[in-house]
Amino acid sequence: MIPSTGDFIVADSSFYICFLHDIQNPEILLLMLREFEFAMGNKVHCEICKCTAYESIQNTGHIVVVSDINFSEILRPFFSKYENEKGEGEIVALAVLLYGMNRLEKLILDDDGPREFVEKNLTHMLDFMTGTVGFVGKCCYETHLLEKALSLQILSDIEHSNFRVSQEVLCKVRRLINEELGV
Amino acid sequence: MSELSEIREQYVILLLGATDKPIPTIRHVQKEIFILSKIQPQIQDLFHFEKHYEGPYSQLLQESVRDPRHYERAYHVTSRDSLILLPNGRIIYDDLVEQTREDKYFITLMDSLRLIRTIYDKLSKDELLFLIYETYPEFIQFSNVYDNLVKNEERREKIITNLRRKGLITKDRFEELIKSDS
Repeated sequence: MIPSTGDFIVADSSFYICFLHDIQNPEILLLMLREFEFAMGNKVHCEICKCTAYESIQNTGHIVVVSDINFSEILRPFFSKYENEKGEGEIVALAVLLYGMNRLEKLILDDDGPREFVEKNLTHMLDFMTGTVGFVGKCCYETHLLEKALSLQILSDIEHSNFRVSQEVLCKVRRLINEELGV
Repeated sequence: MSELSEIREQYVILLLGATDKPIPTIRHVQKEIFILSKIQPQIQDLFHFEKHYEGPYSQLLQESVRDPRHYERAYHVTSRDSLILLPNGRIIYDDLVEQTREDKYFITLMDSLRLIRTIYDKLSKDELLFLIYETYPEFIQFSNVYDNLVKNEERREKIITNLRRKGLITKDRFEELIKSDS
Protein backbone atom coordinates (compact mmCIF):
# COMPACT_ATOMS: atom_id res chain seq x y z
CA MET A 1 0.00 0.00 0.00
CA ILE A 2 1.16 3.55 -0.60
CA PRO A 3 2.60 5.07 2.60
CA SER A 4 0.48 7.59 4.45
CA THR A 5 2.84 10.53 4.15
CA GLY A 6 5.35 11.97 1.76
CA ASP A 7 5.46 12.96 -1.88
CA PHE A 8 6.91 10.58 -4.40
CA ILE A 9 8.81 10.55 -7.63
CA VAL A 10 7.68 7.83 -10.01
CA ALA A 11 10.31 6.91 -12.57
CA ASP A 12 10.51 4.37 -15.35
CA SER A 13 13.12 1.64 -15.30
CA SER A 14 15.26 3.54 -17.84
CA PHE A 15 15.91 6.21 -15.22
CA TYR A 16 17.37 3.80 -12.68
CA ILE A 17 19.20 1.76 -15.31
CA CYS A 18 20.80 4.95 -16.64
CA PHE A 19 22.74 5.39 -13.40
CA LEU A 20 23.08 1.74 -12.40
CA HIS A 21 24.22 0.49 -15.78
CA ASP A 22 24.51 2.99 -18.66
CA ILE A 23 26.81 5.52 -16.98
CA GLN A 24 27.73 3.17 -14.11
CA ASN A 25 27.41 5.88 -11.49
CA PRO A 26 25.06 4.63 -8.77
CA GLU A 27 26.39 7.30 -6.40
CA ILE A 28 24.42 9.96 -8.29
CA LEU A 29 21.27 7.89 -7.93
CA LEU A 30 22.05 7.48 -4.21
CA LEU A 31 22.26 11.27 -3.87
CA MET A 32 18.84 11.56 -5.45
CA LEU A 33 17.44 8.77 -3.28
CA ARG A 34 18.61 10.54 -0.14
CA GLU A 35 16.90 13.75 -1.25
CA PHE A 36 13.61 12.36 -2.59
CA GLU A 37 11.23 9.48 -2.03
CA PHE A 38 10.67 7.17 -4.99
CA ALA A 39 7.75 4.83 -5.61
CA MET A 40 7.47 2.01 -8.11
CA GLY A 41 5.43 -1.07 -8.87
CA ASN A 42 6.51 -4.68 -9.22
CA LYS A 43 7.42 -4.56 -12.90
CA VAL A 44 9.87 -1.66 -12.63
CA HIS A 45 11.29 -3.23 -9.49
CA CYS A 46 11.87 -6.50 -11.35
CA GLU A 47 13.58 -4.68 -14.21
CA ILE A 48 16.04 -2.79 -12.04
CA CYS A 49 16.78 -5.80 -9.83
CA LYS A 50 18.48 -7.29 -12.88
CA CYS A 51 21.22 -4.63 -12.64
CA THR A 52 24.25 -5.91 -10.74
CA ALA A 53 24.64 -2.48 -9.12
CA TYR A 54 21.10 -2.62 -7.73
CA GLU A 55 22.31 -3.81 -4.32
CA SER A 56 24.04 -0.45 -3.84
CA ILE A 57 20.63 1.28 -3.72
CA GLN A 58 18.22 -1.35 -2.42
CA ASN A 59 18.50 -0.54 1.28
CA THR A 60 18.32 3.25 1.19
CA GLY A 61 14.81 3.24 2.65
CA HIS A 62 13.74 5.80 0.06
CA ILE A 63 12.27 3.39 -2.48
CA VAL A 64 8.71 2.20 -1.92
CA VAL A 65 7.59 -0.79 -3.95
CA VAL A 66 3.80 -0.79 -4.11
CA SER A 67 3.10 -4.45 -4.61
CA ASP A 68 -0.37 -5.02 -3.21
CA ILE A 69 -2.18 -3.42 -6.15
CA ASN A 70 -1.72 -4.54 -9.74
CA PHE A 71 -1.40 -1.10 -11.33
CA SER A 72 -0.01 -2.56 -14.53
CA GLU A 73 -3.46 -3.88 -15.50
CA ILE A 74 -5.20 -0.48 -15.67
CA LEU A 75 -3.48 0.68 -18.86
CA ARG A 76 -2.34 -2.69 -20.17
CA PRO A 77 -4.58 -2.69 -23.28
CA PHE A 78 -3.06 0.59 -24.51
CA PHE A 79 0.63 -0.32 -24.32
CA SER A 80 2.59 -2.98 -26.17
CA LYS A 81 3.66 -6.23 -24.53
CA TYR A 82 7.24 -4.95 -24.31
CA GLU A 83 6.16 -1.62 -22.79
CA ASN A 84 4.01 -3.46 -20.25
CA GLU A 85 6.85 -5.82 -19.32
CA LYS A 86 9.08 -2.81 -18.67
CA GLY A 87 6.39 -1.34 -16.44
CA GLU A 88 5.63 1.76 -18.50
CA GLY A 89 1.85 1.49 -18.08
CA GLU A 90 2.32 0.60 -14.45
CA ILE A 91 4.20 3.75 -13.58
CA VAL A 92 1.81 6.02 -15.49
CA ALA A 93 -1.08 4.51 -13.52
CA LEU A 94 0.82 4.78 -10.22
CA ALA A 95 1.68 8.40 -10.95
CA VAL A 96 -1.95 9.22 -11.73
CA LEU A 97 -3.06 7.64 -8.46
CA LEU A 98 -0.44 9.57 -6.49
CA TYR A 99 -1.47 12.76 -8.30
CA GLY A 100 -5.05 12.13 -7.16
CA MET A 101 -3.79 12.01 -3.59
CA ASN A 102 -1.69 15.20 -4.08
CA ARG A 103 1.38 13.06 -3.39
CA LEU A 104 3.14 13.15 -6.77
CA GLU A 105 6.45 14.99 -6.91
CA LYS A 106 7.50 14.05 -10.45
CA LEU A 107 6.86 11.52 -13.17
CA ILE A 108 10.06 10.58 -14.98
CA LEU A 109 9.31 9.01 -18.36
CA ASP A 110 11.86 8.60 -21.12
CA ASP A 111 10.19 6.54 -23.82
CA ASP A 112 8.25 8.36 -26.52
CA GLY A 113 5.24 6.03 -26.45
CA PRO A 114 4.27 6.49 -22.80
CA ARG A 115 5.11 10.21 -22.94
CA GLU A 116 2.81 10.69 -25.90
CA PHE A 117 0.08 8.73 -24.12
CA VAL A 118 0.28 11.11 -21.16
CA GLU A 119 0.37 14.16 -23.44
CA LYS A 120 -2.75 13.06 -25.31
CA ASN A 121 -4.83 11.58 -22.49
CA LEU A 122 -3.63 12.88 -19.13
CA THR A 123 -2.88 16.52 -19.77
CA HIS A 124 -3.26 17.37 -16.08
CA MET A 125 -0.08 15.36 -15.48
CA LEU A 126 2.11 17.31 -17.91
CA ASP A 127 3.48 19.76 -15.35
CA PHE A 128 4.84 16.80 -13.39
CA MET A 129 6.34 14.92 -16.32
CA THR A 130 10.03 15.07 -17.16
CA GLY A 131 12.72 12.76 -18.49
CA THR A 132 15.92 11.50 -16.87
CA VAL A 133 18.05 14.23 -18.42
CA GLY A 134 15.48 16.88 -17.55
CA PHE A 135 15.43 15.62 -13.97
CA VAL A 136 19.23 15.87 -13.71
CA GLY A 137 18.88 19.48 -14.85
CA LYS A 138 16.22 20.20 -12.24
CA CYS A 139 18.36 18.60 -9.54
CA CYS A 140 20.96 21.20 -10.51
CA TYR A 141 19.15 24.49 -11.02
CA GLU A 142 15.95 23.92 -8.99
CA THR A 143 16.89 21.90 -5.94
CA HIS A 144 20.68 22.53 -6.09
CA LEU A 145 21.25 18.89 -5.20
CA LEU A 146 23.88 18.61 -7.93
CA GLU A 147 26.53 21.22 -8.60
CA LYS A 148 26.74 22.69 -12.09
CA ALA A 149 30.04 21.03 -13.06
CA LEU A 150 28.84 17.63 -11.85
CA SER A 151 25.52 18.00 -13.67
CA LEU A 152 27.21 18.86 -16.93
CA GLN A 153 29.55 15.90 -16.48
CA ILE A 154 26.57 13.60 -15.91
CA LEU A 155 24.95 14.89 -19.10
CA SER A 156 28.18 14.25 -21.00
CA ASP A 157 28.38 10.72 -19.60
CA ILE A 158 24.77 10.09 -20.60
CA GLU A 159 25.40 11.47 -24.07
CA HIS A 160 28.27 9.02 -24.60
CA SER A 161 26.47 6.03 -23.13
CA ASN A 162 23.82 3.69 -24.52
CA PHE A 163 21.06 5.72 -22.86
CA ARG A 164 18.71 6.95 -25.59
CA VAL A 165 18.20 10.69 -25.55
CA SER A 166 18.07 13.26 -28.32
CA GLN A 167 20.66 15.96 -28.84
CA GLU A 168 17.80 18.43 -28.71
CA VAL A 169 16.95 17.46 -25.13
CA LEU A 170 20.59 17.45 -24.04
CA CYS A 171 21.15 20.91 -25.53
CA LYS A 172 18.01 22.26 -23.94
CA VAL A 173 18.95 21.05 -20.45
CA ARG A 174 22.54 22.29 -20.80
CA ARG A 175 21.19 25.67 -21.84
CA LEU A 176 18.83 25.78 -18.86
CA ILE A 177 21.63 24.88 -16.46
CA ASN A 178 23.82 27.64 -17.88
CA GLU A 179 21.01 30.20 -17.95
CA GLU A 180 19.84 29.53 -14.41
CA LEU A 181 23.29 29.27 -12.85
CA GLY A 182 25.30 31.53 -15.16
CA VAL A 183 27.73 30.40 -17.83
CA MET B 1 -26.23 -12.31 0.06
CA SER B 2 -28.18 -9.03 0.19
CA GLU B 3 -25.15 -7.31 1.63
CA LEU B 4 -23.08 -8.40 -1.36
CA SER B 5 -25.69 -7.15 -3.82
CA GLU B 6 -25.72 -3.82 -2.00
CA ILE B 7 -21.94 -3.62 -2.31
CA ARG B 8 -22.18 -4.35 -6.05
CA GLU B 9 -24.64 -1.50 -6.49
CA GLN B 10 -22.28 0.73 -4.51
CA TYR B 11 -19.51 -0.10 -6.98
CA VAL B 12 -21.81 0.93 -9.82
CA ILE B 13 -22.50 4.23 -8.05
CA LEU B 14 -18.79 4.76 -7.39
CA LEU B 15 -17.97 4.06 -11.03
CA LEU B 16 -20.63 6.53 -12.15
CA GLY B 17 -19.65 9.20 -9.66
CA ALA B 18 -15.96 9.03 -10.55
CA THR B 19 -16.59 11.61 -13.29
CA ASP B 20 -19.41 14.04 -14.02
CA LYS B 21 -20.42 12.26 -17.20
CA PRO B 22 -22.63 9.28 -17.97
CA ILE B 23 -20.97 5.98 -18.77
CA PRO B 24 -21.34 5.61 -22.56
CA THR B 25 -22.84 2.10 -22.67
CA ILE B 26 -23.60 -0.90 -20.48
CA ARG B 27 -20.73 -2.63 -22.25
CA HIS B 28 -18.46 0.08 -20.85
CA VAL B 29 -19.79 -0.60 -17.35
CA GLN B 30 -19.06 -4.31 -17.75
CA LYS B 31 -15.55 -3.87 -19.10
CA GLU B 32 -14.55 -1.05 -16.77
CA ILE B 33 -15.50 -3.05 -13.70
CA PHE B 34 -13.72 -6.02 -15.30
CA ILE B 35 -10.53 -3.94 -15.54
CA LEU B 36 -11.00 -2.93 -11.90
CA SER B 37 -11.24 -6.62 -11.02
CA LYS B 38 -7.85 -7.20 -12.66
CA ILE B 39 -6.31 -4.56 -10.39
CA GLN B 40 -7.94 -5.77 -7.20
CA PRO B 41 -8.75 -9.49 -7.27
CA GLN B 42 -11.29 -9.28 -4.44
CA ILE B 43 -13.53 -7.51 -6.93
CA GLN B 44 -13.46 -10.60 -9.16
CA ASP B 45 -14.80 -12.53 -6.15
CA LEU B 46 -17.63 -10.02 -5.91
CA PHE B 47 -18.64 -9.96 -9.57
CA HIS B 48 -17.51 -13.36 -11.01
CA PHE B 49 -16.67 -12.33 -14.56
CA GLU B 50 -17.02 -15.18 -17.04
CA LYS B 51 -16.38 -15.82 -20.71
CA HIS B 52 -19.43 -14.76 -22.69
CA TYR B 53 -20.69 -13.67 -26.10
CA GLU B 54 -19.06 -10.26 -25.90
CA GLY B 55 -16.00 -10.89 -23.76
CA PRO B 56 -15.83 -10.88 -19.95
CA TYR B 57 -19.30 -10.60 -18.49
CA SER B 58 -20.77 -10.52 -15.01
CA GLN B 59 -24.40 -11.52 -14.63
CA LEU B 60 -24.32 -10.14 -11.09
CA LEU B 61 -23.15 -6.77 -12.39
CA GLN B 62 -25.79 -6.80 -15.10
CA GLU B 63 -28.49 -7.35 -12.50
CA SER B 64 -27.07 -4.57 -10.33
CA VAL B 65 -27.24 -2.19 -13.28
CA ARG B 66 -30.59 -3.19 -14.76
CA ASP B 67 -32.47 -4.08 -11.60
CA PRO B 68 -31.00 -2.44 -8.49
CA ARG B 69 -32.68 -3.55 -5.29
CA HIS B 70 -30.95 -1.40 -2.67
CA TYR B 71 -30.50 1.91 -4.48
CA GLU B 72 -33.49 1.95 -6.81
CA ARG B 73 -33.35 5.59 -7.80
CA ALA B 74 -29.58 6.04 -7.84
CA TYR B 75 -28.95 5.49 -11.54
CA HIS B 76 -30.79 4.87 -14.77
CA VAL B 77 -30.14 3.15 -18.10
CA THR B 78 -31.17 5.50 -20.89
CA SER B 79 -32.78 4.59 -24.18
CA ARG B 80 -29.36 4.96 -25.76
CA ASP B 81 -27.92 2.32 -23.44
CA SER B 82 -25.85 4.80 -21.42
CA LEU B 83 -25.89 4.78 -17.62
CA ILE B 84 -26.50 8.03 -15.79
CA LEU B 85 -26.23 8.93 -12.13
CA LEU B 86 -29.43 10.43 -10.81
CA PRO B 87 -29.49 13.19 -8.15
CA ASN B 88 -30.26 10.63 -5.46
CA GLY B 89 -27.29 8.59 -6.66
CA ARG B 90 -25.03 11.62 -6.40
CA ILE B 91 -26.07 12.05 -2.76
CA ILE B 92 -25.30 8.38 -2.09
CA TYR B 93 -21.95 8.74 -3.86
CA ASP B 94 -21.03 11.81 -1.79
CA ASP B 95 -22.01 9.94 1.39
CA LEU B 96 -19.90 6.91 0.46
CA VAL B 97 -16.91 9.13 -0.25
CA GLU B 98 -17.36 11.02 3.02
CA GLN B 99 -17.68 7.82 5.07
CA THR B 100 -14.51 6.34 3.65
CA ARG B 101 -12.28 9.37 3.06
CA GLU B 102 -9.65 8.17 5.53
CA ASP B 103 -9.60 4.65 4.12
CA LYS B 104 -6.46 4.14 2.01
CA TYR B 105 -7.98 1.22 0.09
CA PHE B 106 -10.99 3.33 -0.81
CA ILE B 107 -8.89 6.31 -1.88
CA THR B 108 -6.88 4.05 -4.20
CA LEU B 109 -10.09 2.48 -5.48
CA MET B 110 -11.60 5.86 -6.34
CA ASP B 111 -8.46 7.09 -8.08
CA SER B 112 -8.36 3.84 -10.05
CA LEU B 113 -11.98 4.32 -11.11
CA ARG B 114 -11.30 7.90 -12.19
CA LEU B 115 -8.38 6.80 -14.34
CA ILE B 116 -10.41 3.96 -15.84
CA ARG B 117 -13.28 6.31 -16.66
CA THR B 118 -10.92 8.95 -18.10
CA ILE B 119 -9.39 6.53 -20.59
CA TYR B 120 -11.92 3.78 -21.27
CA ASP B 121 -14.90 6.13 -21.78
CA LYS B 122 -13.06 7.50 -24.83
CA LEU B 123 -13.33 4.14 -26.59
CA SER B 124 -16.20 3.24 -28.87
CA LYS B 125 -18.02 -0.02 -28.10
CA ASP B 126 -16.08 -1.82 -30.83
CA GLU B 127 -12.72 -0.36 -29.82
CA LEU B 128 -13.33 -1.36 -26.21
CA LEU B 129 -14.19 -4.95 -27.01
CA PHE B 130 -11.40 -5.20 -29.57
CA LEU B 131 -8.79 -4.17 -27.01
CA ILE B 132 -10.24 -6.51 -24.39
CA TYR B 133 -9.99 -9.45 -26.76
CA GLU B 134 -6.47 -8.48 -27.81
CA THR B 135 -5.33 -8.10 -24.21
CA TYR B 136 -7.23 -10.96 -22.59
CA PRO B 137 -7.51 -13.60 -25.35
CA GLU B 138 -8.80 -16.17 -22.87
CA PHE B 139 -12.16 -14.38 -23.16
CA ILE B 140 -12.44 -15.10 -26.89
CA GLN B 141 -14.06 -18.40 -26.03
CA PHE B 142 -17.86 -18.33 -26.54
CA SER B 143 -17.66 -15.00 -28.37
CA ASN B 144 -20.18 -14.45 -31.14
CA VAL B 145 -18.56 -11.23 -32.36
CA TYR B 146 -14.85 -12.01 -32.34
CA ASP B 147 -14.49 -13.09 -35.97
CA ASN B 148 -16.36 -10.10 -37.35
CA LEU B 149 -14.69 -7.61 -34.99
CA VAL B 150 -11.11 -8.80 -34.63
CA LYS B 151 -10.39 -11.21 -37.49
CA ASN B 152 -12.14 -9.15 -40.18
CA GLU B 153 -9.08 -7.42 -41.69
CA GLU B 154 -10.79 -4.29 -42.90
CA ARG B 155 -12.61 -3.69 -39.63
CA ARG B 156 -9.54 -4.55 -37.62
CA GLU B 157 -7.36 -2.08 -39.47
CA LYS B 158 -9.98 0.65 -39.12
CA ILE B 159 -10.25 0.15 -35.36
CA ILE B 160 -6.48 0.08 -34.84
CA THR B 161 -5.97 3.17 -37.01
CA ASN B 162 -8.68 5.04 -35.11
CA LEU B 163 -7.16 4.11 -31.78
CA ARG B 164 -3.80 5.44 -32.94
CA ARG B 165 -5.33 8.60 -34.39
CA LYS B 166 -7.04 9.28 -31.05
CA GLY B 167 -3.72 8.81 -29.26
CA LEU B 168 -5.16 6.01 -27.16
CA ILE B 169 -2.54 3.42 -28.07
CA THR B 170 1.20 3.92 -28.26
CA LYS B 171 3.09 3.61 -31.54
CA ASP B 172 4.56 0.29 -30.33
CA ARG B 173 1.10 -1.03 -29.50
CA PHE B 174 -0.18 0.10 -32.90
CA GLU B 175 2.59 -1.78 -34.69
CA GLU B 176 2.07 -4.82 -32.50
CA LEU B 177 -1.65 -4.92 -33.30
CA ILE B 178 -1.22 -4.25 -37.02
CA LYS B 179 1.36 -7.03 -37.37
CA SER B 180 -0.61 -9.50 -35.27
CA ASP B 181 -2.51 -12.03 -37.36
CA SER B 182 -5.29 -12.63 -34.87
